[in-house]
Amino acid sequence: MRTRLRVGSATTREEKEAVYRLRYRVVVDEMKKHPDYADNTSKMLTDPLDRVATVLYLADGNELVAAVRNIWAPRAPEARQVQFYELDKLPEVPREAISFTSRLIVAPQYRGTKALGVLLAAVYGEARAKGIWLDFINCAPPLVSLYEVMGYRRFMANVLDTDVGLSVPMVLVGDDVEYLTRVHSPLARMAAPFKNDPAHGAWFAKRFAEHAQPSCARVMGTDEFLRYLTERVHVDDYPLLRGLAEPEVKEVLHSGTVVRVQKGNLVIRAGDPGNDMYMVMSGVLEVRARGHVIETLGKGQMFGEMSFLSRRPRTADVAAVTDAEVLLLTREFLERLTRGAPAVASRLLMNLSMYLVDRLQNTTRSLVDAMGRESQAAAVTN
Amino acid sequence: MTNTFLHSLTVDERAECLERGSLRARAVGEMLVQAGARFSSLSVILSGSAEVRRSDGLVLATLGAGDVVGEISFLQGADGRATADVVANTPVDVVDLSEAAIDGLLLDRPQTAARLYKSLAQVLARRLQATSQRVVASGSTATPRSSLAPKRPWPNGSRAPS
Repeated sequence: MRTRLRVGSATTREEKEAVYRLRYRVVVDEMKKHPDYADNTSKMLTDPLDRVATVLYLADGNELVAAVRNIWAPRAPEARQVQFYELDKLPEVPREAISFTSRLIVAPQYRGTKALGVLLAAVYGEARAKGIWLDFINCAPPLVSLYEVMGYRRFMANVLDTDVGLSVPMVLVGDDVEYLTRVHSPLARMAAPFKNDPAHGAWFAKRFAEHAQPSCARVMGTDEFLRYLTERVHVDDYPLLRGLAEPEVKEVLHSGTVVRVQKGNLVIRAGDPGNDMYMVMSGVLEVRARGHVIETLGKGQMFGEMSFLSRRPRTADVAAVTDAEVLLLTREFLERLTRGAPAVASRLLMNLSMYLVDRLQNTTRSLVDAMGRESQAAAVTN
Repeated sequence: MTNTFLHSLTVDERAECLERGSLRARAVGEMLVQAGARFSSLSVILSGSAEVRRSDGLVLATLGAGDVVGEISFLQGADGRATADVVANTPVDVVDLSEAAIDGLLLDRPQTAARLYKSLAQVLARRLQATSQRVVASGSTATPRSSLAPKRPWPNGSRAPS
């Protein structure tokens, strides 16, 4: 069924509107987000930048299944991306060499397929043909590993975006063939016909030295990733992993993505939908609700698990008080583990339940205390 | 009913769980669980309703078909003690799933066991979310909690490898 996948550039009005409708279906209908540029009458999602963007789509037969847009920086000097990615800090890079990739949408049944890679490869080809070698993208934390596989790297702090929640800005040095080859990016092969300047890769490594290392197993290579994690992980410190044998711990860690969060940054925000949970690997974070700190979290502790399990929106903000590393586990991961290693999934969920019981007892105590204070106050007033 | 225990399982999976349990009938006024008692089963209410009562008689919650009883002491294993009385206020049918029954499920139907554990975690997560919101609404600013993770034996008595 997927042999008919075809990439096209949306140039006609019909093609563009089909893309805008796909965006609406995924962003508004499915993800329940309501960006201010959503047109609820025509059920389309478009903004003025679409007029200067190259919009690419992926079709399966006659059906549009994925889309993305790429904006060449000189064509959008006022775009919010210019500030967002802090281009003023990169005066050494000519604007002609820069593009922004955004509005990447994949229909549900094509997620986890090659659709995303095919589309990003098409973007790469288009961009390189224009002389672009630096492409910026902004993705949700669970997708970091997918982009890292393509060769994108983090280069700045995570950002809390008004439209999409926590997001991770990433950048691709398109002609850093050495790096693309090292991470086995499918783009490495595509780079061959273009003029590739090794100085650009060297520039990134020097300019963003602290971000030079990727953070997911698929890119780092399993061994390196696990060495990196096991140096930090002692099972006793992690209630979620208790009772698991070493290979099982590795399997769990292997499925996660380490998200680095800078001091002061939010990781989750109250009201957002929550499809993932986090385990603190290092650093200190705070849970805040209504302006109060309600919990302080350290190594081994979890957060985001309530929405992850209940499928209700996040009830509190979680922010990093120090620089921190958190392991992100997605709902898909848990489902995969349940099918592939159900005994491990059971242990993990029992651990999670025990953790929840502990928190529930503490929270109930706080509630009883608070109610006690209220009734005392009432007694005094009476 | 969408929030009840085992709701997210398929009909077959639910049957696989429940058929391993033992059915108990309770008359009005009879206890399903007694505060302070060691209670090591998960009980699922099939029909009727029961009240969770504090020692002074205050009703903390009313449970009905699909709700789970005893999950906290079940998870705490040997240290677990029921924290409140649960008393039938109509005739109640419950299925008790013992530790042994769940261990058996884990061996024979591991995926179903995983989904049962997930369902348990979901019940707890929803309750924690509701309780947390009440704490925040009450204006209490700090939840006392140990900074280190709890350490306790596994329900089956074995200890985690270190």
